[in-house]
This record gives sequence, structure tokens and C-alpha cells, in this order.
Amino acid sequence: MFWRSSVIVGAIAAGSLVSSAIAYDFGRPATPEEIKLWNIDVRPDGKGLPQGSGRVAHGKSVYEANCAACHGPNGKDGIKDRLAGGQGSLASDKPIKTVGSFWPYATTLFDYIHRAMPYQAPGSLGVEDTYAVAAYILNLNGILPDDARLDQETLPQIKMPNRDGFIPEPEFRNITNSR
Amino acid sequence: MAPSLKFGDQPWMTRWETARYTQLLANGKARQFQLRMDTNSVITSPSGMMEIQPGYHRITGLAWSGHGTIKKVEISTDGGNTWEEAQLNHPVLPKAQARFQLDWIWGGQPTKIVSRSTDDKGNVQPDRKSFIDQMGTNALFHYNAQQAWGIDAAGRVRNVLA
Repeated sequence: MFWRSSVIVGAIAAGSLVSSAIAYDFGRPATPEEIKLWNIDVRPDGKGLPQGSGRVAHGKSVYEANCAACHGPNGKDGIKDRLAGGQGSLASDKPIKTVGSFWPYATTLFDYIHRAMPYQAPGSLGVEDTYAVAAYILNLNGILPDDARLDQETLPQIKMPNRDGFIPEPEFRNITNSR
Repeated sequence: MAPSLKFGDQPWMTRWETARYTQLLANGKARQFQLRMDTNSVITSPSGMMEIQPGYHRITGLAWSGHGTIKKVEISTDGGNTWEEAQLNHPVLPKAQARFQLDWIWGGQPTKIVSRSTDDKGNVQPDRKSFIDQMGTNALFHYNAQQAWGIDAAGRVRNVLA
């Protein structure tokens, strides 16, 4: 009974929210320009990656200008998350979770850097710089050679070292009805 | 900026989905995704930084489980050696915090008080050692081992390991 009555209360609360929505700018459809700004998600299969490319060498200079202050030289010893190394440490008493040791997909690098980094100016890195610095971080982890170049075709093809290190919970193993 | 939602038919595997809402286990593999809160509880009174006197106390706290409804909370006032079932205060709702309480006479001896919850799927809140045996020491978001409060002879309540 408690459960039923709280559902009814919730429905009433939601209804009153809708009916009192009289404030200017509330409830209008998002414009295509606004949607474009937010619609930047990148999937493991590469869907969402923009056209462009970047090389490891350029990524090193992008990294030193924008990332090293927090993440440290070479992706280690910074005040924020360590980005490089740690491969082979996950089953030890002191696991080191980095991009190279833990992350299952390289596309995550582009998505996260492009939307959220650098911390004080998220979204300020262009597409070319983002590809380049992603390439550099993968290079620091021994995943890409020094002369590598990344673009929307090559980034999703990278197999990360810990790609098979994840065990889906039962509820995520076989989704037949996403409702 | 008008709010908007984007729906997808598969995970985007963003940094938060992959590097954070996954649970590294002691064996080096990681549970994916760890979105539910596991069965958990904490005694809120007496609790850390309080000072209590010998005599009557009503131990109270909160229990919750992302898997369902809290069915039972047990309390130990001797560091986990013996357990007594606490009373649940209604309403006890699924995926909501449930209040519990237990009357207790403290004799003035140093001890530890601990709570342990069980949900309607049979999940039992683990002790710290069992938790570490399975999860290792790298649990980031979803630590749910039993929380112990130490009480010294002067009645000072402090955070201790169970």
C-alpha cells in the first residue's frame, strides 16, 4: 500500500510540474545548433568520430601544453589520474589503473578528451589536437609506435590490452528488451 | 540551454562507464557495469565522534540495497561475535533507505558495534575481510562492507575496522 500511494503522489507531483511550466525558455525544442554542440558521443565502433587526424609527435606538444600540469610528464607522477603504465598490475595488491592497463576501448580517449579536457577549458581542443593527443597517450602506453597517425578509421581498430578484462554483470549479458 | 536526452541502443563505453562504474576484482578482472548499490547499512547513532555514557542507548541506522528491499538488519555489539536482529521502521521500500533500531544497554566496556543487512534477494552485507577477498582493495565507488564503530572505556565513538 505504501508503494501504491507513493506512485500516486509521484504522478501528482509530476503533473503539477508540467502545468506550472510557464517560465520563459522552458520546454521549447532544442535547436539544431544546440543539439550539435551536445551530440558529440563517440562509440567503440567509431560512430560519432569526426573527420580529421593527428600524429603522436604533434600529440606530445599538445600534451605538454595542456595535460602535463595535472597528469605529469609522460602520463605519470601527476596530481591527477595516471594515464600510462600499470600493465600487468591489475591482479596485484597494488593495481595501477591507467588508460593502457585498464581501459577497454581507445575510442573512449577521444570522447573524453574532446568533451571534458583540459579541466580548466573543456571542449577547447580541436579535432586534430584531440586525435593527436589520444595517439600520444596510446604511444606512452606502448600501444602505438612513435610515427603513428590516428583518424576515424584507425582509432576504433585499436585493440586495448585489457579489452577482455571485463565480466558483464548478468543483467548486461543478454539484453533482449531494453525497457 | 534547453535540456535534451540522447538515447542509444548500445553502451558508448565512456570514461565513466568503463574506468569508474566497473569494479576491479582481486583476480584482476572487472565487473561491468557496477551500477547498482550493493546491500549496505550503517549505524548512524552512536557513530563517529559521538561520546556516550554507560546505560541505555537506542542504536539506530540506515540500510539499503540496489537489488531490492531490505529484509533484515542484524546488529552486533561485541565486534561481530554475536548478532541480534534489529527492528525495521516502516515504510521499508525497494531501493530506498530503511531505518532500523535496537535497544542496547552499554555496560561501559570497550567494544565495537556493527550492522549487517540482508535484502529480499538473499544478498548479505559482507564483512570487510570477505569483501577484500573478493574485490581486492581497489573498490572505488561501491564499498559495501560492514561498518564498525569502536567505543572506548570513556565512551568515545570512533571509526575502526571491523
